[in-house]
Amino acid sequence: MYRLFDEVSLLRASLQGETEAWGEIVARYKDAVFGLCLGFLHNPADAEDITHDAFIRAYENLRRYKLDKKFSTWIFTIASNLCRNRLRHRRYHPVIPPPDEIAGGSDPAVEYARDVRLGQVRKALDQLPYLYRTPLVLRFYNELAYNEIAEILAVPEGTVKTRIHRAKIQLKRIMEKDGLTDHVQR
Amino acid sequence: MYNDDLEHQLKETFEHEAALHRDRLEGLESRISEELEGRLPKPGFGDLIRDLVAPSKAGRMGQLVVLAATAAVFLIVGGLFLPELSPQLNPAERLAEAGGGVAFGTTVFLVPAPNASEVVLVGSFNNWEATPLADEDLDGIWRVELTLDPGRYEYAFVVDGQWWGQDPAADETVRSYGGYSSVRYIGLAGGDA
Amino acid sequence: MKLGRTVIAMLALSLTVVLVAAAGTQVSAQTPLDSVEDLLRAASIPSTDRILDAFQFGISANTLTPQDAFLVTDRIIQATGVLADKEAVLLALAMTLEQALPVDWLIDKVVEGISRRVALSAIRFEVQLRAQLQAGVRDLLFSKGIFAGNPSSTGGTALPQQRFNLLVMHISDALGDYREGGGSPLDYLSVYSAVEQRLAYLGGSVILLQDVELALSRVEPAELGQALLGALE
Repeated sequence: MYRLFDEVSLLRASLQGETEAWGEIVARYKDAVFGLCLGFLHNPADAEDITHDAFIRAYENLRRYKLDKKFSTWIFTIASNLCRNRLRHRRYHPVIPPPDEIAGGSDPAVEYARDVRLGQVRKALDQLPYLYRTPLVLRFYNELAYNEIAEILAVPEGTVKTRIHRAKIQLKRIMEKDGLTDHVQR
Repeated sequence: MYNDDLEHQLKETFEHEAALHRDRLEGLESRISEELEGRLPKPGFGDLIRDLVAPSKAGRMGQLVVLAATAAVFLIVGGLFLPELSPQLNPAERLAEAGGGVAFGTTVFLVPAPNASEVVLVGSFNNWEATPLADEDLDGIWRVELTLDPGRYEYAFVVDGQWWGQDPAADETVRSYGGYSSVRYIGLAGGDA
Repeated sequence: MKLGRTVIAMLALSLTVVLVAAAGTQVSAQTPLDSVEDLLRAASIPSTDRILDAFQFGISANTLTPQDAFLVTDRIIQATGVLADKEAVLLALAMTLEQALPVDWLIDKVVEGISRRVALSAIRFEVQLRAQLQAGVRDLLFSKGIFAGNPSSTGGTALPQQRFNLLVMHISDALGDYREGGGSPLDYLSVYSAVEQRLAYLGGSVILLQDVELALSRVEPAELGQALLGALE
């Protein structure tokens, strides 16, 4: 029913208690929020939980959302804060990441080479500190501008640029150390 | 947007990983709609806090229980809603004041303690000696503003003699001597790249 | 009219500056090392001479201010506890100063503990452990050629003492907090990540980013875990 509604109408309907309208918002943003959480935490189960919680929290606090702001920035901020809290709780009880699930594919040779390469990038990402990984996810997965990333992570824009710059340097170093330089030309 | 191979590879990696686990999102919208449908209308967080911290006749123990409950709620929700209570607490705004982390302005500390008669802040910025907080408008939220140089500061609130080191507005919380201390980093990095 | 106000404001500001400066001078005049000596002798601390020598060395090496020396001595002496614990805490600080290592963070830990009314024996344990830890971290970073004073250090990247000490202090503090939070020294990756997280927060504001980079690139997770383990033994 709500599939053809524009975002503002959906949000207004949600505020009136139309939970189906909210469902449509969830449908539109769930991939982006889940990808963000997965990139931040590297744990699919945690990412799923937080995606769920973020939409519930956002609904409960919808009256605080200002329509003149981008909804994506707001929901990403909520998800990002929830991820950070999750990380705090498990700081001293790190979750062992799930076994490498990157395997298989329809075209064996091509798929395999690609999966190995992506698996290596992911392994290098695992070694990056959380503070450096998060802006990378927002920039290269969610494709956000620096000022939006700054707002979500609650740091100055200059810091976002610094962290992305440093993250890339560290990634390259890690990949060089692991003998993965073939895949990174610059 | 993508300046080099690494950036392409990062995008590809994030997208690939998300795609691998996308089946977890199957039907999420219906699950959430149903979950919300089955609930009574929710009060806003402000109402929740007001309910929690409403003046009670329970006396001192009651105050502590209320404070602990408030602290627990704050801890659970993290810094998520705090900007609504006090816009000054938003780290983004704190940092924006800093002009990119070079010179730093005022840092605000606040704590909800409606039944308290004395709230002080102790930390590495004042040799762990009491800096009093004030609740001038009697809304139960005590506050103080400090001007701090860039650095890492550990601190805790002391509410009627009771230490409380789990400020949800903190950047970190650490264990200290069996209790907790909150941590704020003032003047986080910027412009060095 | 506006100019008149400006002149008055400037005069008021100058007067304030002079008064503040005078007050500052008075404070430092009231807290020289002889006040510390009075406190130590009145409390009959057996190693008073060694402690005073170390404090003096710290002041000359700019790792301690007379005000902090007085503050921490006063707090320790006033705290409830046995003489042996008081002396042990003071000696842990003294031994750190003797090695020209940072003592500010240890003083902060002592003052925090006393303010929290923690038993002096617990403060003693924590401060001795952290002092030991700092010496271990210093040795580790030194062995990596990060300190410019080390003959085997790699020229361009080695750091002068102040920057080296800053790294040593913050890494040690991160390790100390990690342990106090219940972290295991044998969980090397978590140890490393605690340090990494701390340095990531401080890089670019308190510590130069290139110094953070230098330390993180040269130190292995297992080495940090071993440094922590060494202090616990």
